[in-house]
Amino acid sequence: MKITVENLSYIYAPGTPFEKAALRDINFTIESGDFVGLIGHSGSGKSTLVQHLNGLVKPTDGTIRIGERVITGKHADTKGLCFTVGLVFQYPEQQLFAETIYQDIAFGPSNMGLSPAEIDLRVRTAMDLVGLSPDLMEKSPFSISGGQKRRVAIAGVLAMEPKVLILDEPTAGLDPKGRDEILNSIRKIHKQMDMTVILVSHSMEDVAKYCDKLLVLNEGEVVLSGTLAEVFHHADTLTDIGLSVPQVTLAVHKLREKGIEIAENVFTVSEAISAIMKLRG
Amino acid sequence: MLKDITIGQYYPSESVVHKLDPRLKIILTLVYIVAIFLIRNFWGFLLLAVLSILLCKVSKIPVGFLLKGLKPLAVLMVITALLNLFMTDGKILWQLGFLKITQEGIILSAFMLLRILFLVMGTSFLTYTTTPITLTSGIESLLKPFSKIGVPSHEIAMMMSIALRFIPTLIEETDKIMAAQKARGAALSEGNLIQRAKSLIPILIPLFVSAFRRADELAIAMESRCYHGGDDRTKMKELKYGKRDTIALFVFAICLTGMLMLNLLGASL
Ligand SMILES: Nc1ncnc2c1ncn2[C@@H]1O[C@H](COP(=O)(O)OP(=O)(O)OP(=O)(O)O)[C@@H](O)[C@H]1O
Ligand SMILES: [Mg+2]
Repeated sequence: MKITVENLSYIYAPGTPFEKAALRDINFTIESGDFVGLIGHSGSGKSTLVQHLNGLVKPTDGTIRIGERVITGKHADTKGLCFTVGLVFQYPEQQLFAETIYQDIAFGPSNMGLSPAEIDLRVRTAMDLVGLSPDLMEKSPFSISGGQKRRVAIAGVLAMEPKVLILDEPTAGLDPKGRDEILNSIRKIHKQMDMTVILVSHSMEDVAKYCDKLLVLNEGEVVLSGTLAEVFHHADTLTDIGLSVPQVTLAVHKLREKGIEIAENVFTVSEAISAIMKLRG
Repeated sequence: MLKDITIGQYYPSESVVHKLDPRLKIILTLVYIVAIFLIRNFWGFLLLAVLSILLCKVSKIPVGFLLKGLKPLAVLMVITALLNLFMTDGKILWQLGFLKITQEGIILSAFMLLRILFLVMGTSFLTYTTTPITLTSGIESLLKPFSKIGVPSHEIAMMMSIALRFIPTLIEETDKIMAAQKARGAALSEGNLIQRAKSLIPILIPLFVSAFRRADELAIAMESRCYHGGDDRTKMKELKYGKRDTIALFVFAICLTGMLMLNLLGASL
């Protein structure tokens, strides 16, 4: 599903001393089927931006187009939008509430008014997609580990089968293994379900490994956007706003400065390995 | 949404009122509460209204912000006013079945409305202009003399400051959980009473879970910094009563006298 954002601005608590312009004149387009990384410093407005995309927050100014829908501050066509654009919040395990994992995952689909058989199918599929074993179904969501809770929460959104999946820092606070497992699941889901995925992240390494395109936010403004190669080309701009390019990309840039003819667009360790192997012939 | 609740919230600004000794502000607020019930006619409320606006200007709090804080109480105020309006005996002006409006009823309900209004507005000045920390350290210091007779002044103050500290956090948390459940299609304000009560479950349970978790974490954090109650604890910022406070006290006394004098103009009640 295509997403277009034009001149989007958002102000928190306008007219009070706590007033805060969280987004300023944001413009971008996301094509159907893209896997986009949204990256930026803490407080740059990432969470605010993604909440606009599923209708939880209404723009102060500007227009958002999602498929056929048009959302502006005055007229917001957001009914049922949360089922089309699934949003997994930061620390989503904090929203678990049901007695069993099954019931918790079924919460979204049952709010959609689906038949019990359809709900059952979706819950099972979603659990399978995030790699939760079916034995866990009748367990309490409060009795499992943090990483598993996170999967349950993600499955809860996946079970609604959204066209667009947005994940707000899905790996925050996880160990490296849990992080890779979750991100691999997401990549698998992106391919299998043909979803448009927006991955909010702090980590350049993560987005470099999983995303095709990047959107870089700084203090509520889009500073860079485009494919990985286009964005990482501006290493200086990224460094200026406190972000960096992935370490391997930096290393490859250094090698090229030294006159070594290595391929330019290298973003992950495995790509670097194959590039170096190619050099050696 | 919940963010609109401003009661008990601090309004940061650099004004004389903000800098007053919290103990003085607490005592004056208590006197003010009593004084409201001594007002006998509408002139008194008129004076109060003027003084409230002046106080807003002095403490640099926008009048609109003060009025917005009254919104959550609107229902309570309307109910009180209606009860008084219909339930007071006296000279009947209008009657329909058992419902009647009397002259006394109109005056009484207007009075009650104004009382609640100024009670809330006046006391919000205390919290708007005093940070929770200063407020509790003021309360602790005021309760000190009573610790001789067994009042746990430090513990009371500590409990209050923890409670005050966590109100905004819990509101924020509730907002977040509500957003997360809405993202899963939760219908929060639809349906009959039972459906609405049921739709609160997905919000209340995560909220309780996180409140207990926070309480646990806070207890551990306090213990690991060797917190052991009030004995021998010193303060980084000692409360100081200064010239400014004496002036404020005099101004308050003059206004109070003026307000009581207005009672001589006759009682509407
Ligand atoms: N409910 C709110 N009320 C007022 N200001 C807010 C609120 N939520 C966020 N902000 C402010 O808006 C700005 C953007 O916040 P946002 O949560 O979108 O950032 P973020 O990029 O998601 O940060 P992080 O990486 O820490 O999650 C921040 O400066 C923040 O202080
Ligand atoms: Mg965020």
